[in-house]
Amino acid sequence: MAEALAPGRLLDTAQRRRRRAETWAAWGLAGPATFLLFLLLLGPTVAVVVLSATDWQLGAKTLRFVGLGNYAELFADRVFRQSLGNTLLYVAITVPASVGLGLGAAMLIEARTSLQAFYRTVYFLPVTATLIAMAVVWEFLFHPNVGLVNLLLALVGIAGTHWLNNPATALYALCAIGIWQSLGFTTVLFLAGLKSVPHDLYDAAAVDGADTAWERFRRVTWPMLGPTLMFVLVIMGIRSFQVFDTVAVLTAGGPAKSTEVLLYTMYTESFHYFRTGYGSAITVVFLLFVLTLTLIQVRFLDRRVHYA
Amino acid sequence: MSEVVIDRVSKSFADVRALRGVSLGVRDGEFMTLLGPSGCGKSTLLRIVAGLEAQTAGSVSIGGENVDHRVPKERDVAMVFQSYALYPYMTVYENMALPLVMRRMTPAQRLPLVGRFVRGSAALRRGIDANVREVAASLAIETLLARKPAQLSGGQRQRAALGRAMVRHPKVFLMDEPLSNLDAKLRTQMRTELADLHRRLGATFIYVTHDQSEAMTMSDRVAVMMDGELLQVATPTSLYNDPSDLRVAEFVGSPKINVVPGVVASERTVRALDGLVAVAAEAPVGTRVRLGIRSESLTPEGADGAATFRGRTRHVENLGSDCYVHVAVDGLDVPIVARADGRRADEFGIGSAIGVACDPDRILLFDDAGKRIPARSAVARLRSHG
Amino acid sequence: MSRPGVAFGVFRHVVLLAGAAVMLAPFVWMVATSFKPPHEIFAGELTLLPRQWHAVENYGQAFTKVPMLRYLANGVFVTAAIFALQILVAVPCAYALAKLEFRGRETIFTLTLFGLLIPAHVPAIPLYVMLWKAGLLNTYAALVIPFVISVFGIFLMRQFFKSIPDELIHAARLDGLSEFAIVWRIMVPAAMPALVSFGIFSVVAHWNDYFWPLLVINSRELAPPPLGVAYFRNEEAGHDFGPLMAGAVIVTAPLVVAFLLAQRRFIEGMTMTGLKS
Repeated sequence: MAEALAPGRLLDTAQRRRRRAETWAAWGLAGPATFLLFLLLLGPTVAVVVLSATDWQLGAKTLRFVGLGNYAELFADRVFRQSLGNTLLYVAITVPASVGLGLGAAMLIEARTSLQAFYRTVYFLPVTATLIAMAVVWEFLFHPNVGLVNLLLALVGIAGTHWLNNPATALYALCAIGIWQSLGFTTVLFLAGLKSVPHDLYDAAAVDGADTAWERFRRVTWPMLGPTLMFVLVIMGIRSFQVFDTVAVLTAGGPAKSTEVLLYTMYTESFHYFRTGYGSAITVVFLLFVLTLTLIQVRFLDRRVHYA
Repeated sequence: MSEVVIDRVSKSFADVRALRGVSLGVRDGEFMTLLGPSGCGKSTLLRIVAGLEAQTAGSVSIGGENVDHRVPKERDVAMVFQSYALYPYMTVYENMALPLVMRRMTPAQRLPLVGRFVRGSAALRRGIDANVREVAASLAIETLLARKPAQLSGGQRQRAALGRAMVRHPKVFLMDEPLSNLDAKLRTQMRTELADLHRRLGATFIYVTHDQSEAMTMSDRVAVMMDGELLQVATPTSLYNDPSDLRVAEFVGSPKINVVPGVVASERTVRALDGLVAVAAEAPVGTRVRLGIRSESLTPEGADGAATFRGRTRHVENLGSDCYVHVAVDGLDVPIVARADGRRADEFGIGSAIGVACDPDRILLFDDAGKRIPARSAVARLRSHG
Repeated sequence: MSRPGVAFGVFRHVVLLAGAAVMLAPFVWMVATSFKPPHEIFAGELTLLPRQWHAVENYGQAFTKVPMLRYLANGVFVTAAIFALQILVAVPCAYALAKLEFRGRETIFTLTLFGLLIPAHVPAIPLYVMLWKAGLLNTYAALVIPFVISVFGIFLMRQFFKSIPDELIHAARLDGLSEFAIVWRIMVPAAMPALVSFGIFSVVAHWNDYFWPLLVINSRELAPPPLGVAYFRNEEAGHDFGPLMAGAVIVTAPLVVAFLLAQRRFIEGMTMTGLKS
């Protein structure tokens, strides 16, 4: 039934050669990316950690290892502590506000069909707009005399202030811009989350007697939206932590350091005062915060796999 | 010449042995079908022949030449896939032209936009165009050449995939369950077309399927595989009538062959359940055997003394031309299925006592391990003695 | 619909329209102001349309006081170069990771996942030093090189390639395509939707990027739009809002118009940042 031939004696080498050719092809395709990954991302990241343990100043010929010296200096530095505090406050305001408002907007949009596309478009518009340009616009809106904000407040008899120039309000003004800019982002993510809630569940809840809006929200929407909510919170946390553009253009950390934030401090220390080692240490602190948030997300995403 | 010789090919994935030393010779111009249940290793074997996977041991030669070191495109084989694997964003024409473009044109000539200005590319394009249109005409898909795969019906996609395989006149066609995505009616029609195509092309076909009716209707020979092993290679006729292994007998044929335990009772008889059948088995008296009896060798009749098996009618399957009577027999978990002329279908009342007569000429004997035991009918001799 | 249904419908529109007004106000005010002459702007009146149209003057100044066209051209060139190189680097790697078996594959993929965890600001200092040592500061190269590798692009394309059936690749190998040809002839066309999404993500991110150009560029000829707007604002601060708003309109318009034309694709592409950022 089967014609047996002499077994291929060259088989071993022939196959090994083929497999080696495949490996070469694969490395030819993946090699450049891997090289650049090390050169432009992983290597520099390691370098930042190493630099953060030195006293190097950009352009200096010498460099000394100072261990955790930069970090000790950081946490003793009033400006850095304020910067960290401002950043955390910015995150603590921007994240709940944009997440809460985004959830509300998404639920209202999804509740009926009329004008759905219009609302989605309008709310998302600021996400695509160039933030620097819009920051300039906001600066004008916040103008003490001719800005739209104060003109509108004057209509209802409230005296406005010079929002961006007042240490008591500057950070909150930046928060407002941040919320305005990311609200559409959270809205769209929540819309996607709401769409994935099977309609049968609402019907089942109605049959089971949960037919008021509040009951539907509490019994179906909220629990089903849990994973999306967690995801959006973390993403917004990471985004807000990176606040830089508005600070750099509008306030330069002022007035009186009231809007000094992590990335801006890192920028000035590294590129104005050329304290590269010190700036690297701030970068590492920044990285640790973002990694913590990411790890929360990874852990949570792992768990979502179990739900699926 | 394009015979394919598979010599002691084995394949192991991480911890699974998918193929255990399979040897098979496919003759030039033969339609060979690899038949087996899913997971038996038949698709893996086909991919090894194509060069898409490397075997762990053994060798493959095509046209008398060892191809183990050859990448797929150097093996001069074409493959038709279960999902057709048509490039979704290319038209049927582009799909069919691609194998020729890749083979005949230089990289410079293949360049988009610029390529057409490279010397000789226009003549090559014309040649390719002629080939594509010729094949398309032979498959009656000329009118579909400008469409994308998504705009085609299942049968049309099937033809386009065949066209892509045919266009470069390969020595060997490899087909991996190409009909399994079609509806039943189209599948029957394509069976005829494929067999016809094979006769026209005169090329070697290796065809993988789990559907025994495809194997039986199209192939010159069928290789039955199970658990990574080749059980039997034979023509459809001898596979059905002369299986070498109980697993082959059980896999081929519909309804499934009846299997009844028995024992060699004398030189000329085998006892099956309570009945005695006149079969001379080439095995010592007392050997435990299993009798494989196809339903057409069994005839339902009255519950009198002449019947080999007795039981009660459990179910009657009336197919019009034939009817299959399922008879529950004491001592067997599965009912025995016997065939009768369709016009008799109403004779059998469910639950009533029934006898089943057996044609000893057609009984297949297997030993405990499932291997065939040679046997022949002993009716004549019994008669002469009686 | 029942009465509470109607009431809720009205409530929904009132709330959402109020929100929409807030979202749109900066855009509306920006455009309105870009049409107004200085004395109307500084009159502090709540009017949308100018009494005296000053659009030509404002937009004219936006193009003449600063090299606005140059900024836009820089933006187009830099984002296009970044995207093209990202594709060139990421797509073959993504294909190898998704479809080829080779030693080191898992390692590369793990490193890619690590890369996803690192925000773009983190490698900034060493990259700056590298470019400085290479004498590339204040060049187009400085704007492009750091973003040539997109771990997000590799990850995204790998996920997409994984969903393409192996049979398609097997067919291509039998049709005589090399692995390189499979990437560009088979995988890229099949992955067009993913590439478009990634393209939007990449272009939006780099058109809008301010942080990196701020570090490496100090001549106006090389400034991309956000940096250009910042220059413009620093010169005009508090003086003449008309041309400044006109400049903001010019810089914002390309992406906003593109978004309005292809909303679904944009939202897809931008929300992918959820995976990265």
